[in-house]
Amino acid sequence: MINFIWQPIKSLLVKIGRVQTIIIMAVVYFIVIGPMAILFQIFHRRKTSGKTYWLKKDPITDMNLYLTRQF
Amino acid sequence: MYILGLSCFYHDSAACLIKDGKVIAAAHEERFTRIRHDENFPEQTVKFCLDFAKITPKDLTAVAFYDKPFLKFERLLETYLGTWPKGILSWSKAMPVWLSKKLWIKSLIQDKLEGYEGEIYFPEHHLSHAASAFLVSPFDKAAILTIDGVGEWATAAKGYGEGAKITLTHQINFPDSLGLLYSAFTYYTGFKVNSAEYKLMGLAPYGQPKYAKLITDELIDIKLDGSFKMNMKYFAYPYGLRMTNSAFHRLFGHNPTLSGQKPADFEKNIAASIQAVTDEIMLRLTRSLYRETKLENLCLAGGVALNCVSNGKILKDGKFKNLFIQPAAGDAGGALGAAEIVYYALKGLALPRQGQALFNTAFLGPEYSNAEIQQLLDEYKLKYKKLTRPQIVKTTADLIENQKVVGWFQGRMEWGPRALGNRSILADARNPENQKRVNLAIKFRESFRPFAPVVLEDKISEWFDATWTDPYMITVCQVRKKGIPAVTHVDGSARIQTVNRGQNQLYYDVINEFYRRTGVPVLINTSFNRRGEPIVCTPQNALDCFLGTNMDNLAIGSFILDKKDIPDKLIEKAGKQSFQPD
Repeated sequence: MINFIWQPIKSLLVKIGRVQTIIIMAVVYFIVIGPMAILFQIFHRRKTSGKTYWLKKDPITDMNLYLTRQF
Repeated sequence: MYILGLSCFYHDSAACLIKDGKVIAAAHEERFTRIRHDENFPEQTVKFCLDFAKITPKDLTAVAFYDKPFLKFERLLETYLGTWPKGILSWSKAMPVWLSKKLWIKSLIQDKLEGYEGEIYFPEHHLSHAASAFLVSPFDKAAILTIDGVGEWATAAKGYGEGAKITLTHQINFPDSLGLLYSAFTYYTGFKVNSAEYKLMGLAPYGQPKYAKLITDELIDIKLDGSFKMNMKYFAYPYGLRMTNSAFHRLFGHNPTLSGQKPADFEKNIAASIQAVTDEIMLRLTRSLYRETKLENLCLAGGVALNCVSNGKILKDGKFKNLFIQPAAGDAGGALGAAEIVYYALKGLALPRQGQALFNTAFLGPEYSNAEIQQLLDEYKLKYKKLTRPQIVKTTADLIENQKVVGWFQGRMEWGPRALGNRSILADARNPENQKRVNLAIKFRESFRPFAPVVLEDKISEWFDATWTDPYMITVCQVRKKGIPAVTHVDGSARIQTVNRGQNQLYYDVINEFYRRTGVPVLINTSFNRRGEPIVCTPQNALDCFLGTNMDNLAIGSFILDKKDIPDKLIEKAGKQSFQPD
């Protein structure tokens, strides 16, 4: 009986949650990301033409530390 | 020492288990879940790997995940900053998944591997790719090139390997990506991204590269060394849910082709053009890598390394004497590379490899006993013949010679996207009708799609313009002899698989028996599945596919089934099973 009542409520709450997430994400996108993005777009430039587009990669100095880090 | 490698949460999730550096079990999650390109945590594959080794998570020395999630998240954030405010839709879709799941991969793995208390390692995406090729290759020294859609930041990396050490010296960063450029054209021609790139490759020989110059003039700047930069004015993939934008469509004077639409001349020419550009980039990249390293061996990995046409051209170019590409060169293979790099890091990178990790078989998946198969056939009350191995060989060769299409289910399932002779559909390559028949009536796929030949290894140069062997079906070359029209593409090429008896005895014996009877050492070998369905894994999957298609016979373990003996009721029921087209 409880399950019978709970299931439609649950599915409604899931739908509300989805809409809520989209709204929160949109707010964060415009209010938090927006100002940073404007500054980023003013100051950030992509690498322009040279002889190559290959970028030099830093060598791995401490393999164990490198492998355990997620960044 | 057991190490579990994992790759997941993007596409083609997979797991692999290595024991003392040697891969002993590996599979794609899609084969178990029956969801094509399944991206979820490879729970069932992990279970298979551990069961295979008869161990529990507690017995694992280490677990390796194939990329660095935080670095990937950094790229995502920076991309949203650079493309603001166009990325709102993509942001709203991606962020909840990242915040709830992808940033917590370490905890998620710990939860899934109950009892495992060791370290979880995170090599970079392209290092995992590089390791998946070099560390299991037969070479002590080799140049390495990895190239795909995108990992964390890198979309391509190059360097070299020596002993157990890999040094990646350079990379190209997102959004400049050859893999994503190819995927953009895949999307544009109406095919599914991260799934049907190989269809675009198969379509290319039907067209002319009329747009190649337009692509190199407008979309991508290619340097002499093969490095490239893309003109992002034309692409929507960094911020949108689509690959290309309206500027791209105006450039070619055509809106994206609708999915499922039959390719016309325009799509064929587009396919030929992007393939020509890809070939050119890959040749420039490998030539410059050869100039830099002066090594005779090359290891390729990443999704673009599955472009068999480019691979064939690299070999034909002759700069590198030897090429090694592991069969799961795409993201799934990252699981293998991650495990290998961790193994050598734990053992000490100075360790000479001495061939202990040599990758010499793609048959790393599950296998099923005759008793299990017979139990299934009996459950269905099916009529079958139980044969000895020599009888299976003779009967199968006989059926194929008599123009029957045979489902071939034997031994351990293949690792990688290709069926290599254990989960295959076999047919006579001499009959031109077989191309259409297998495409339309058995696999229910597009009629333009070519079929790959399997050829006896010692007959390769007699029948194909290739001086190399290719057990994993990763190169394309020209067909030398007439007489195998069902596997000869419209431009006279074929994606070859070579086989010797040591690699797969039963499979070899069937082809050899067919050769003895007909003088042709070549068969059609295509994957055992229907359009949109992952390659079959279990006897049940094989039986469903056999019953649901117009396949004539099924050779499964020691048993041979004939479609004529199957009750109509069962065939009707199986025919109702449908899959989302890829």
